[in-house]
Amino acid sequence: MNTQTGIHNYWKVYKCLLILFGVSVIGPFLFPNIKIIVLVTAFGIALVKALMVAGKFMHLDVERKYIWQLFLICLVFLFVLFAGVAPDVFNRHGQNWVKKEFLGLNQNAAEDDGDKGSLSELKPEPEPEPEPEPEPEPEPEPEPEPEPINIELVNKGKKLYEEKICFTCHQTDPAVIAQAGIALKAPKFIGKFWGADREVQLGISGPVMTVKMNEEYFLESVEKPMEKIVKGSIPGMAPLPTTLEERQALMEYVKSLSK
Amino acid sequence: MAFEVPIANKRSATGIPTGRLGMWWVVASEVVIFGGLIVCYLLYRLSNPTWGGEAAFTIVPAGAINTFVLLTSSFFVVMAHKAAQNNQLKRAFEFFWYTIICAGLFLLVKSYEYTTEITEMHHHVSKDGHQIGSYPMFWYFYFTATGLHALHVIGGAVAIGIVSFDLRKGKNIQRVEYVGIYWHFVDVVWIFLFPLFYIAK
Repeated sequence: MNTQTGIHNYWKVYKCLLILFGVSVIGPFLFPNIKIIVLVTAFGIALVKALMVAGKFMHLDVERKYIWQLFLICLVFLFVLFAGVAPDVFNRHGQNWVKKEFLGLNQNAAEDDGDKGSLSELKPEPEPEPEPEPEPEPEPEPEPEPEPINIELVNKGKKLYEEKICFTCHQTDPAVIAQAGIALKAPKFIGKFWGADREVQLGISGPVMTVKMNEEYFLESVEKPMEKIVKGSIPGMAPLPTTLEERQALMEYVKSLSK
Repeated sequence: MAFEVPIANKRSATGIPTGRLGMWWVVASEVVIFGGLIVCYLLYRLSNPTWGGEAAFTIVPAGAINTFVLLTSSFFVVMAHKAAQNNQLKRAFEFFWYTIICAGLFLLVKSYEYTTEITEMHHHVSKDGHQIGSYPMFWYFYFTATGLHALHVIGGAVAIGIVSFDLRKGKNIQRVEYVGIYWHFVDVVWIFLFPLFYIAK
């Protein structure tokens, strides 16, 4: 009934849509570096086009208010989803995690930012600590087997292994199956693995090379799991926010598992 | 005649024919499905500016052709609606089949894109110093969103096909409008997916 009163010139609408579509493609093509033009032409025009299709083709312009209210409710739900999740997603760090990728990219921006309190705890972690210290450490002990095991450090490492939920993926006990680890084909810490060779990919789907499971490799992989990914496993490990001390404790524990 | 049609078909508290109201509800719930996906994608995209390097691998001309194809198909659907309203059932039938051809074209281009992208991922193709697949999350979103949309295109094309044969016999002509609303919605979703995945780098 309504549709009969509202007679549109569909052809005209279609031509309008095509012109808008042309602008939305050509705009960002001509000015790829001017962000505002890209945003306005791409998304502003998308909105106009969507409204035109909804209004003129779906006849929403002559439809009852009820339908508009229906859509409004759905959009409110979407807004709630966005607003509810955004604070967490946009956060650069939580209690147990840090978005290193983001920090590395926008280091200057991050330093200028307002959240000083949390950043000051953060900065010493990824920057000064791991860089200077790893060098003196690996040299004095180049994977000697008969070295006495530091029980205290092993226990600390074991605790960390639980806390940092390493165990969910890296199986240590043949009797206790790590489900997530099976799904991701994560390397297990069972058997005589320390000192053994393993094939790794440099970065996701990068070239393959062979490395030795040694201290250097272990410490690097805890800090930057995506640098060298065991061949055949699914890259699913996030960089573990740890201090060098913690990483060494973890290493001591994992080393003690190799039998 | 009236008794052949279930009574619920004729009753409407909103003043909107029940079939059309139902279709609007379908569309509204689809808004939440696609909207949720797009909102999540936006959230991640905004907090990962590096994804722009991945978006450089999506094939803009293919996306543009598909946008054009879907806009045209929407036009055909609304022309079918107009023809059916003027009782030109054969003409409406033809327009519906033009739409289905458009849907086929769309899927053809889409499968070409998927093939190219997956092959490039296998061969670690690089562009502007960025290797494809370095941020796989982008591709998870890309394949989920466009794949779900492609499923809707297939579903819509099948529905239009079924309605078109009824239409030729002069049965259930009101359904022309209902599948039309659905088809336009599929078009609208693509209108948003196109800038999100192709244009914004």
